[in-house]
Amino acid sequence: MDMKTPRINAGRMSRYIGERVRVVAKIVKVNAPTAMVELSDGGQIEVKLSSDSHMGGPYVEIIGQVENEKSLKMFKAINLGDNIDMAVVNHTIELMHTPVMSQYWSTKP
Amino acid sequence: MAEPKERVGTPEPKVAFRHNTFGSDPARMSFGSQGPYYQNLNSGGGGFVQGNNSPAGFGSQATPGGGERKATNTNLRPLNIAQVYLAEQASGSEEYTLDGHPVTHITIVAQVLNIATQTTADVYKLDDGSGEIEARHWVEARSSDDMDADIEDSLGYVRIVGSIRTYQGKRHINATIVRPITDNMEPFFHFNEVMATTMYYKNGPPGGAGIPAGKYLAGNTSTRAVAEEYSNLGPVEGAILAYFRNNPSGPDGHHVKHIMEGVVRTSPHILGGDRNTQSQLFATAMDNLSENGALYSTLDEQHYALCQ
Repeated sequence: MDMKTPRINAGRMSRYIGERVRVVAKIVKVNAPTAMVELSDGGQIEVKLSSDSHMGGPYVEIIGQVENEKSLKMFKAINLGDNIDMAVVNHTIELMHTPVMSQYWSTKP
Repeated sequence: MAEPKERVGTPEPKVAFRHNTFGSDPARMSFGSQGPYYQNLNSGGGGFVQGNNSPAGFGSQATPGGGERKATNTNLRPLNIAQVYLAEQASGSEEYTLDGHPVTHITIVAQVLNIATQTTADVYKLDDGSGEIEARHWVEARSSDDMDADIEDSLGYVRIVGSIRTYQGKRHINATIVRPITDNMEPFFHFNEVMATTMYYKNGPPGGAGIPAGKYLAGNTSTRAVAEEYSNLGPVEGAILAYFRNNPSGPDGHHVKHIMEGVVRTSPHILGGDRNTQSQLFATAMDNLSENGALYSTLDEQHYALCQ
């Protein structure tokens, strides 16, 4: 019940610095130990990979801690395959951040 | 002027799973049991829509006092985990409500963190981003449709159908169906269904006749506008339409500069980070709205008004 990991996109990273979040990401380039990924709003961030960096892809859901507005330290990743519509994902994230929905999703509008 | 432009920014979402959740008769609404992801749930596994005598203890359908059975008791309410904790329990009984409406039978989509196999039940630890909870899947409730072995491998998302229970002060879910997700957009379908259903139960059907205007918060306007009219356009288009709705203009409409400033003010993250991206996304959204007939230019290409 304690650990909440709100879904965010690149534009919202700065609101969650130091917190655990979930992002849906498209892997752009892997340069172990980091990777560049593109999030659902088109913004790119850097991800510091955890030791189990068998991520799959090209789409993954990454749970991690926001270090700064362009960098996420990954805890784990779930392979989402190749059939992800990022526009729908982004729209969902934006809806979760509306004031009326934020109480249900622990988001910061 | 009519040269084809390369589209940048938010593409139109593919409408893979739009189904008419909001039918014309509110009393016959059955959230959670329509749509392309529910086709497998009605085969085998206990016929949960009709069944009253599942040993998994679905709860008595006969209301005490012999009152009429409410239509919503047989319907599935899509929920997120935070809402399972927010639901209120009528003292002593196993009836739960959220926003005043029964949430006895629910469906959840969440990631499996952990599976513990016990003699009488499997216990799944679930996390959907809004919270964590346990779901107990009793041995008798299992059928050939459940693929526990597959779930163990992927530790990915599953769909749960069940009911809310409290035991020794701790809330959990009594799951009758546990099914791994095969289409990775299904969680996002579910999150949207949760939000739409929540808004329906809070505020009534969309485009609602007779709902007092005061009940809507300012933040809902853009959500409703997008949902009811241009649900296949993106959030930028929705924010632009919301700007027009909240700032009625004269016949000359608004200058694009003011529209963009308004959008940035109310939805600061929607256009992204840098100036270039912002302009491109805004311009694309304005194009989409003009082509869809939502906006038309008035004095010149810098002024637009809303088509009523």
